[in-house]
Amino acid sequence: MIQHPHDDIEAFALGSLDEVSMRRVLAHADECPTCAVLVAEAMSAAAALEPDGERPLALPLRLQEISSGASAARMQRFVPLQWVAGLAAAVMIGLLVWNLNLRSSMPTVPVASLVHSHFEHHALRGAIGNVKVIQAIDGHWLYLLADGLKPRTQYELFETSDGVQRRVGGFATTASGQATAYWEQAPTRIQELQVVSAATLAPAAHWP
Amino acid sequence: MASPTALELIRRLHDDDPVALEDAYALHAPRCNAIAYRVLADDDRARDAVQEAFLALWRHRHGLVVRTAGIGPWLSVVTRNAAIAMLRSAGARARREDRVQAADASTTASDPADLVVSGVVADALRAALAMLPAEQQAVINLAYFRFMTMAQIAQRTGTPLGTVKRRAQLALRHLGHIMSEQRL
Repeated sequence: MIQHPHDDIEAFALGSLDEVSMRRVLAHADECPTCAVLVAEAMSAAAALEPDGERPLALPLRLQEISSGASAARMQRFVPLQWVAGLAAAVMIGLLVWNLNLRSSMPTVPVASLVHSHFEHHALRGAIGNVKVIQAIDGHWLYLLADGLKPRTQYELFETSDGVQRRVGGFATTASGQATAYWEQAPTRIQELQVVSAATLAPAAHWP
Repeated sequence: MASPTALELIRRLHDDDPVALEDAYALHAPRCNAIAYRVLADDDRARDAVQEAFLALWRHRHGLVVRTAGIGPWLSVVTRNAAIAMLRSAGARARREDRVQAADASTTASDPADLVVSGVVADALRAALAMLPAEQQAVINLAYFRFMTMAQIAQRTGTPLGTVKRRAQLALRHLGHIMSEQRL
């Protein structure tokens, strides 16, 4: 049985855990959609306590080492060879199209609305993956977190309300099979949720 | 060049783009440094805490929390936690208290936490703190301003650990709500 560190989440955000426990909370929440939302709420609240203000500093050496590949990549972008530029342009156009597709699936995560709303969680069951939908009690927003789904695949979320099934929206998984998505809608009492493959409409996960 | 948006940064980090780490650093490091300095009162150690936070951001770039919380709140908390972990080494705490006392020798406050509350924290936070029940104020004071663990607070106040954690939970939710509303 999974042990969720619910009792330690606020202590984590306040810096009131020992270092090992802090690492444990963050590592768990990185894999657990429910705890990720709770940690995000606590982080948002704790960050709000910090006074405004900045203190400039230089880029430390170790960060430069991590991103040394980035520096090399930046320099290569400006190699003045026409054929390289042409190839790069083709690649960039491809990346742009790909990025635009990905970006359309990136939600504006409404942490503030999560913090200040009453909400409930639904774990959707399916053959693969882990899909969690968090909804406002009145159904006016839904936030989906998923992992373990088929990579780079488009899915659709459907809800049943008052006995009628309707499409909530689509989302795409990343290369590692993860996804997050957020939708707002008119308040409604959600009775069922279902995730299906956009290509085949085969059911992937459902609640209840 | 326009600053990268928060969502774009998260996406690029998730895609293992190290330039995104540099961009995140350019955007957030000065604020993180201010947060770390408020804990440590030491430029060198504050820089180490900031570095630790950005290394952690790189390690956690595929995790759910960065995407859910957003890079700013994530870095604020992780930087502060890194700074507190450094402070908890006895030598660092002694150096901090020496520096704080040297920097403000004229004040009558004798406790570093009092100095932080009186000198740095905004009036809004003090007002929000005053609205909490006394037992929740005490937990926030000991946890947030005196950098004590929940176990240390339980021991000091003679309160069960679970009760201390529950008070912290209620207090943080309440404070976060008030502070967020005041910044909107």
